[in-house]
Amino acid sequence: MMEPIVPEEEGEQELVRLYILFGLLFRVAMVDLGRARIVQLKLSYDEVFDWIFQDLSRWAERQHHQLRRRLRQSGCAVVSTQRQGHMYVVQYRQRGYLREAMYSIEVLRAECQQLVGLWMKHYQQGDRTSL
Amino acid sequence: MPNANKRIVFLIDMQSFYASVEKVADPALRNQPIVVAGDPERRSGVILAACPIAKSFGVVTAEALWQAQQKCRHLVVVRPRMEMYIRISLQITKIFEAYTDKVEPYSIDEQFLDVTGSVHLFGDPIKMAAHIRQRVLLETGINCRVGISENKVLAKMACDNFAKKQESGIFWLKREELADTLWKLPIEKLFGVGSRMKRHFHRMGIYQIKQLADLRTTVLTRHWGVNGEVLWRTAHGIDDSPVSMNVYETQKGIGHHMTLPRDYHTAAEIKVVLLELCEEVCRRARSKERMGAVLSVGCRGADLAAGTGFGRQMKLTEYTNDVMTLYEAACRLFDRHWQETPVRSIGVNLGELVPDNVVQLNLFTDNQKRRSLAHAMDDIRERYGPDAILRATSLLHAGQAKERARKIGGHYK
Repeated sequence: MMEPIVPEEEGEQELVRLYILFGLLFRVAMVDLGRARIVQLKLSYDEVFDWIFQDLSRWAERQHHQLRRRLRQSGCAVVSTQRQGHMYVVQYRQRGYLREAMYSIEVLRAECQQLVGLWMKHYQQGDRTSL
Repeated sequence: MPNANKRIVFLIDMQSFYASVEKVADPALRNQPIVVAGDPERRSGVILAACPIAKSFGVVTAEALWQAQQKCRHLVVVRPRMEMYIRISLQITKIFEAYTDKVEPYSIDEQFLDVTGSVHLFGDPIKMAAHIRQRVLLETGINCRVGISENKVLAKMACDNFAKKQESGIFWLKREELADTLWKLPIEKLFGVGSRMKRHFHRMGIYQIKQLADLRTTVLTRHWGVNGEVLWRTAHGIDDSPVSMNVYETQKGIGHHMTLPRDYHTAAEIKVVLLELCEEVCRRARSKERMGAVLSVGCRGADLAAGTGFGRQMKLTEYTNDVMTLYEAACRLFDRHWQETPVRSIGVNLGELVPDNVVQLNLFTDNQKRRSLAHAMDDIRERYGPDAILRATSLLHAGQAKERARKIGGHYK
C-alpha cells in the first residue's frame, strides 16, 4: 500500500494549497484534452488521449473533493478564487476568520506538474487503490 | 514577554532568492546544483545566486562563472529573469502586509517588518515569525530566515549572523544579551564593516566586536568622523530609524552605470555610450520631476590591476534634466580627464536634485521646446518600450541602448 497523497496531520494552510492545486489540475487536464484532440497526427489517438486525460482529471477531482470534505471537517471553506496578474488569490474562511493566500502562478504550474508526475508514478506501479 | 516600550522588528531574508525562484518554477532543477548567472560573453558572467546544493561545492555569490564551474562540474547555469524576481518580491511584500502595515523593502530579497502592534495576535514573536515563514514557503515556495530584535540594525545582524545558521531559520537577538551573542563575533561580522574597514581595525588591534564596543567614541570619531560613531552605536545595538516606506522618498542623485561588452578604445565609441547613459539619467529625472546641478562621470579602465580610469564631477551652470545639456557637460569632463586608455565600464550621475517645476528661462535657447520634445519621447517609450525610439548613434556598433532595453539592472528581464 502506498502512502496517502495528503498526509493525515497536514495543517489547514497546506490543505487549502492542495485543494487549489487539485482543483486546477482536474480542469487543466480537460482543457488540455481539448487541445490535444485538434493536433494533426498520422494516426488517430483520440481514445488514448481521452483515457489518459480523463483518468488524470477524475483522479484530481476525487482528491479535490476529498480535500474539501477534510477542510469542512476542520471548519474551513474556500470563499473565492481569483487570478490577479501573476498571482492567484484565494480567500478562505477558517473558523470564522477570513484569510487570504496569494500563490504565484509559476509555483502552481510547477506543483501541478509534480502532481502529474505523482499520478504517473502511482499508475505505473499499478496501485489503483490509492488513486 | 517583550518590554512594552520596545519595538519588535523582523528582518526577513529569502534564501538564495533568484536560485530558489528558478527551482520552484522548474521542478526538474530541484535536486541539482544550480546558479543564476549572466552571460560571460557579454561580461556579465558572475554568479548572482547559488542554491544551497551548489554552495556545498564551495560556489559563492559574485564569483566568476568559470570559477564556479571548476568547483562543480555538473553545475546547471540558469539565465536571470529579473522581471519574475521583482514580481515574486512584490508578492512577498503583499504577504508581509497581511501581518503589519509597516513593511520596508531593504533589497529585492530582504524586508524589514515592524510588528510591534500585531505580535500579540500570534502569541509571541517566534510564533509569528514561524507563521510568516510557513506562509511564504507555501505560497511562493521560497524558504526565508527571520532575524528578530528591537531595531533594524540588530534585526539585520540577527538574521545574517544567527538565523541563517539555525535549523528553525529564526533568531531573536536581545540587546541585553549582546555580550553573550554579538560581541563574541569577529569584527567583520558587524554591520557596516567591510574588508577595508576590517583591515583598519586589525591594524588598531581590534579583532572582536566586543573590543570595538569597549572603545570610547572619541577614538572612533577621530579616525572616521561620524561613521566611527555610527559603528560604535551599531556595536551597542542602538538604532532609532523607523521601519517606513518613506525612507527612500528623498532621493539624492540619479545615476546609471554600464559594464561594456568589450573594451572601448576611441572617444567616439565611448561618447555613444555616454549619450545613452545621459539619456537614461535624464529620462528618470523627468519621470521623478527632478533636475540636478552636479554631474559626475566615472570611467573604469580595462586594466583592473593598474586601476586606470577616473571619477570626476562638476557643477553645472544651471539645474537641468535636458539630455543634450548634460551630454555636452559630460563630454567636457570626459575629454578633460580621459587618458586615452581602454575603458571597461562607464557611469553618469546627476546630483543636487531639485523639483523641475521652476525653470530659469534663457534668451538664447528654446528650453520649452526641448522639454516638450523630451516629454514626447518619454511618452513613446512609456507606451511602446524603452527601445521604441532611439538616437541614430545607438544604431552604431558601439551603441548599447537596444541591448539594455532587454535588461533590468544589467541583467536580462
